[in-house]
Amino acid sequence: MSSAIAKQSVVIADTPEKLYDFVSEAKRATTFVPGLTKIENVNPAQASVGQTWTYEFDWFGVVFKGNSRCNAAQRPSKYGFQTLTGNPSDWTYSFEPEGKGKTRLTLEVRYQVPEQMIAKFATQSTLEKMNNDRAREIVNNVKTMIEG
Amino acid sequence: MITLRMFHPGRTVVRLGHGGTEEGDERWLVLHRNPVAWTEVLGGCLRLMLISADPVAGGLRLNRDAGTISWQQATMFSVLRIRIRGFSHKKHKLILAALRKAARFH
Repeated sequence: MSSAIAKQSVVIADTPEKLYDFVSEAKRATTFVPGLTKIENVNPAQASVGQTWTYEFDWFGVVFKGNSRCNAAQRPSKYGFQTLTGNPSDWTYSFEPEGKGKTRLTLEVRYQVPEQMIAKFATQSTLEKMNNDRAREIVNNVKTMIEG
Repeated sequence: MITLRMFHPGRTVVRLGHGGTEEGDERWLVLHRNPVAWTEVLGGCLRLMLISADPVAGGLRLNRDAGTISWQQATMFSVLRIRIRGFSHKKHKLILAALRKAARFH
């Protein structure tokens, strides 16, 4: 199984603290991550290292179900989690001040590419492009949610 | 677990014609096996998007004149009417997408 990285960033007109609080509420991800259909069993409610939840993700018709665990909760600079089962991946959101009242939000997703998906979508580069597009959509959705 | 999505999961949500509503308003037919607590499902979704809403008879009223969501529920289906105002086109689309996801899966 090979691995790949999707990385996208965007500048948002709000503070790192506000963006951190927005992104780090695990259940909220269903509203801005395309294909993420369910987040359940969040424990504890507050974002902290060790927080866990179950997820269901529909990736263009391929459904991943599994468990996630928060592995970085450094307010307001970094928030991250791993999907432990389903399809293993490592998600990191970073929040860097950029000018007065603005923040650069960067999402980096390291993921393993299941061989059966390579077979389905023909090439790894196609799959990587699709995931990069998804990552761009995610950060742009956060920008739209925050800026209105 | 990895599976191929062969069958329609969750509730079925069908977008209906505008039927007398204003442009931009939505009407959805939702098929369900059990009664749905729409106030919690849709109100919870709005809260996650930082949009506050108050329960009113038969629906929700979004604060700051941002619109209403109303529903009529029968045993096996509901009809939702969604009227959202005062957001950018992009955010409007995002709100509708999130509400639709909530109606289907939550």
